[in-house]
Amino acid sequence: MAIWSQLDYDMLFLIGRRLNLIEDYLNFGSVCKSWRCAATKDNFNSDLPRSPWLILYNGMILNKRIPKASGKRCMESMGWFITVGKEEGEINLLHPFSGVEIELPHQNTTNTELVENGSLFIRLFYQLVLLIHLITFHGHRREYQFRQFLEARRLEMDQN
Amino acid sequence: MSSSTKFLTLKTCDDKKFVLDEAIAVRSQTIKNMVEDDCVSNVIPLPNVDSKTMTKVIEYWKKHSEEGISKDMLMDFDKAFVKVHHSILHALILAANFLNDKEMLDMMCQEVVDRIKGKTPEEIRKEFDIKNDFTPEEEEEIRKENAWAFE
Repeated sequence: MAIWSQLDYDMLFLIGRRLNLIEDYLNFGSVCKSWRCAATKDNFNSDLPRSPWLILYNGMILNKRIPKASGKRCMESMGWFITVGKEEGEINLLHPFSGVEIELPHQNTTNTELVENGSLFIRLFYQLVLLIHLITFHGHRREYQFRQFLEARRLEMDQN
Repeated sequence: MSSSTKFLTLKTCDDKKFVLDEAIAVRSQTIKNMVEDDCVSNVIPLPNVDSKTMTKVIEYWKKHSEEGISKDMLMDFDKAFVKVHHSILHALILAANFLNDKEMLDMMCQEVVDRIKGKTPEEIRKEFDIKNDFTPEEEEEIRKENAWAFE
């Protein structure tokens, strides 16, 4: 019987719109060719209500373990996590999917530098946000360039 | 029922006739439009719905039109209503879509979704009797594409 693979696109679309877990949505699109046509990225419904412990990634939902974020406070920004560790002042940038972790200057150091060299810090901060933005659009393969950039900025800060 | 109750005759694709209170039949937006546009003569043909499916649809419509029925009772009814073989579920989705009964269509789609959730593609195929029409190469490609979510 081939009735389900011949279901109209409109109805497959309606079904797909109700799947709010990305794993389910991807499995739905892996069943057969006609279902795959309905399960496009654009058709994924990012407006469905979701449980708060799930992670938002480009409007999709994934239930994922992230050991590196364990026990840390997390703030999300453009697909990256800013994690604040238990140890005083420990801040990292963490990409939840590639597992790439970037150590940020220790908070205590940063605070002093913020007072002494405020404008540079703010500039660095804005550049950081811009880069996270770029990485989000160009994929996390750019992480090496990102690391290099951060290293260069860190040297710049040290020199000042 | 008052004496002003109007009845409609619906004819399914297998030539079975159903006489139904108009107030219930207009749960179908398709039928409602026909009634409002005065397109209804004696019999309303439903070329896309068979009698077995229409019997289920009418059962649903009647239950949902019952006066004084509690929300809990309706919920129990709905729960039992969707527990059907996937081929009937499929026919009900097509019927709800053709009859343009959004409430029913939503409920049917939700049941499909509930049967998909938590299953692998192979398990979903088994559930709905679907043939895997991907080549092994295509399957591998999809698997790679989706790998990030299943790490």
